[in-house]
Amino acid sequence: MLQVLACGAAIVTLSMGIRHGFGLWLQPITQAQGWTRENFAFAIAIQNLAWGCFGIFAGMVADRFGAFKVIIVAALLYAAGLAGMALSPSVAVFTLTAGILIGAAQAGCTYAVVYGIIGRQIEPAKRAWAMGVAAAAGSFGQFLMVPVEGLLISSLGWKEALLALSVMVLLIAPLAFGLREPGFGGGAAPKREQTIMQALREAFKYPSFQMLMAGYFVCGFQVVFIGVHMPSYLKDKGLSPQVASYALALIGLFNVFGTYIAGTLAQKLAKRKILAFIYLARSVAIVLFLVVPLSPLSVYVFSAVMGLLWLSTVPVTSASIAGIFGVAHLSMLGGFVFFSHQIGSFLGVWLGGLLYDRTGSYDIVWYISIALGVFAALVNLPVREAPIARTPMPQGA
Amino acid sequence: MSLRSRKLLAYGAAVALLLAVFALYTRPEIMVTLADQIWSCFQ
Repeated sequence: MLQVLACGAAIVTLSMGIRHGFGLWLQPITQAQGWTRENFAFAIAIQNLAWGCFGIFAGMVADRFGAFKVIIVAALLYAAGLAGMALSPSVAVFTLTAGILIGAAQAGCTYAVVYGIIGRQIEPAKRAWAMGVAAAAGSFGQFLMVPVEGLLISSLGWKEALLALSVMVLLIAPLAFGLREPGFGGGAAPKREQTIMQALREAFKYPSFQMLMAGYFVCGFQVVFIGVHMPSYLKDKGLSPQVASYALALIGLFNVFGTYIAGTLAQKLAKRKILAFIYLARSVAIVLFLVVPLSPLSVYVFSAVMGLLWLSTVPVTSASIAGIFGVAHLSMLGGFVFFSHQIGSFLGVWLGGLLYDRTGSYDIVWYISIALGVFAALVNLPVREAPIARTPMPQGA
Repeated sequence: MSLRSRKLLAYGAAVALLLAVFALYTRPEIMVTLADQIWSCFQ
């Protein structure tokens, strides 16, 4: 168990961490290449969508042939994508490398695929906790890599910093050897109770799966809206850039605690209640943040609270899916739920910008975030966590 | 070493690591670099 947990956590630390600092390259790349912010932002938006789309297929392949091979390919794609970001001669190539290649790479070496292994290799009595540890590792990676990447850009230059990261990300490949699963060797997949189509039909007909997807959509919307637009919001309100930096640092720090605590609690308490609490607490935190007079202190308190609630949905949602549907198709089902998260993320960023341009403030998007949080809390409460009852399939099916 | 002591040690090490990373954010030169880079995204 320790080997799976350590290697899985290290892989997620690297894969989640490196991408988290991409915003730091906006200015140096656009200035050096003479591109616009829209060019850069479009590539990153494509990356997020590609991550969601490829996640479904990476999950299918990982469930069928073992996650080890998927992670190795993802590490190579990640390295190629980072090198491509550094060396792209045109916007189109940049979009292909930073967008498609890195999005596909993330699909293969982040939560959905690693959680599939954790689900299969770690006993149910410790599964949610282990997922919490892996999520905390990803959160730690995000927290760690922002200043590290800032330092790399300052000391090496933006292009060399990307090339250094492309070498660093190759560490994922040897770590993947610690995640080889018995039963997937020699190209043979272990026998499964259901085919992919049967698993998909079952999940999409099951209301609780749809509810978990709806909740994750809200998670993506809120987290990415706040992560991307909060510095701009604080600037509009006359707060200094340092306050924005500290706010993001606090979100990162408390996110580590939040994901670990959520995973640990999910081992003992009803997951649906934890998820409902997280979404409702986000809405309450946003309401208080908007009502209380804005000051650096109120920003720091809000950031710490939101940090605790940030990715804490990840281990709880994944453990719920594993508990309901089992682990044979966990990566694929996790991929579908994550796709819903990415659609929410895309809308959070896009609507944030669009409504700001139209109205001159973020008020409407804050209100949407509050309403969505309440909605997600309500839809998660009736989720049925018990393993789904299946009628035995005839032999040879 | 008992299990409890090992757990305490692990938690202590994790908290120390997190505080060390947080300290990175508080160093003036990194703060200025980060703040500038974050800010430039929204100007």
